[in-house]
Amino acid sequence: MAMDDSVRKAVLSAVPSLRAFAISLCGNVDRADDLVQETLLRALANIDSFQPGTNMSAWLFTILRNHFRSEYRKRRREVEDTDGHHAESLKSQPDQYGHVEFREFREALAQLPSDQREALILVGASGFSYEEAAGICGCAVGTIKSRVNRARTRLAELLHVNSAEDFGPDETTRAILASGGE
Amino acid sequence: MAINATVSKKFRSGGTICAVRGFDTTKGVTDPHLGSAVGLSMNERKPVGQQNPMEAAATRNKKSNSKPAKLGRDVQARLGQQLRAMYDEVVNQGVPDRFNEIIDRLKSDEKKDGH
Repeated sequence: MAMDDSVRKAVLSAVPSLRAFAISLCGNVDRADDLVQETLLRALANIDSFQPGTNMSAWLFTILRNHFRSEYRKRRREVEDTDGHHAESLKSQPDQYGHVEFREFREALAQLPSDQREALILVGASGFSYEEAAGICGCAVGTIKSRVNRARTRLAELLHVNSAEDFGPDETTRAILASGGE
Repeated sequence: MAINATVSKKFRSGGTICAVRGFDTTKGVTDPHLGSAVGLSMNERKPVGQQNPMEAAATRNKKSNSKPAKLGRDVQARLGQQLRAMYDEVVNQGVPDRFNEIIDRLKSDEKKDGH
């Protein structure tokens, strides 16, 4: 099947968010881009199984997540000290997202259990509904809600945030300017 | 923030509540500037006598066996803003060439091979 131009556009428009999600999963830009590449190759090889009219982005996220999970499990089996290596590779990538002001937030995020972090990112950053996130993660909607809830609570704990004022008056403004502008 | 409003709404309607661990309940909970959103979430570990009537009612309306740990709306909003700002930094980088190339290459391969 020749790839429909609208399908191609839909795939391309999902790539930036797919990358951001991949980085949050593996904590490493290079590895994340490899993951996105493998995801795209798989998706395009199986494009016939994509149902037109459904959410292309959710479909791609599902493929990426499943691929990451199976690869990660495989690595754990193959290399005994994967955990040590993985932790080191995370440490050696100090500024994945470039801006120093996200450092503390990023570090807190990295301390969350992976299923909670994933749920929080999908719902809170990627913009998926709870239902879509549940579909991507292959679990119940209630499970996603509970993970997101726990993730937020834990983040607030790690950042010592009890009230909005604890963020400081300018930090969020800066963050928004940094993301919206250059 | 339309997205956040939606998320917050769904989030609250879920009724899935988990335990708060290690919150400093002496801090922030009675700050009058923070309004009821923060108060609602944080003071649920306060003795009942310290709750205002609305908050007490909100607590009663929860399932009896759940351990209330909702974050205030504005804390949730700030966390959400930071999360999105961080995420959008990557999103705003757009599509790296390598991915454009993959998709274009596949397109021409398909034409050639007739897949």
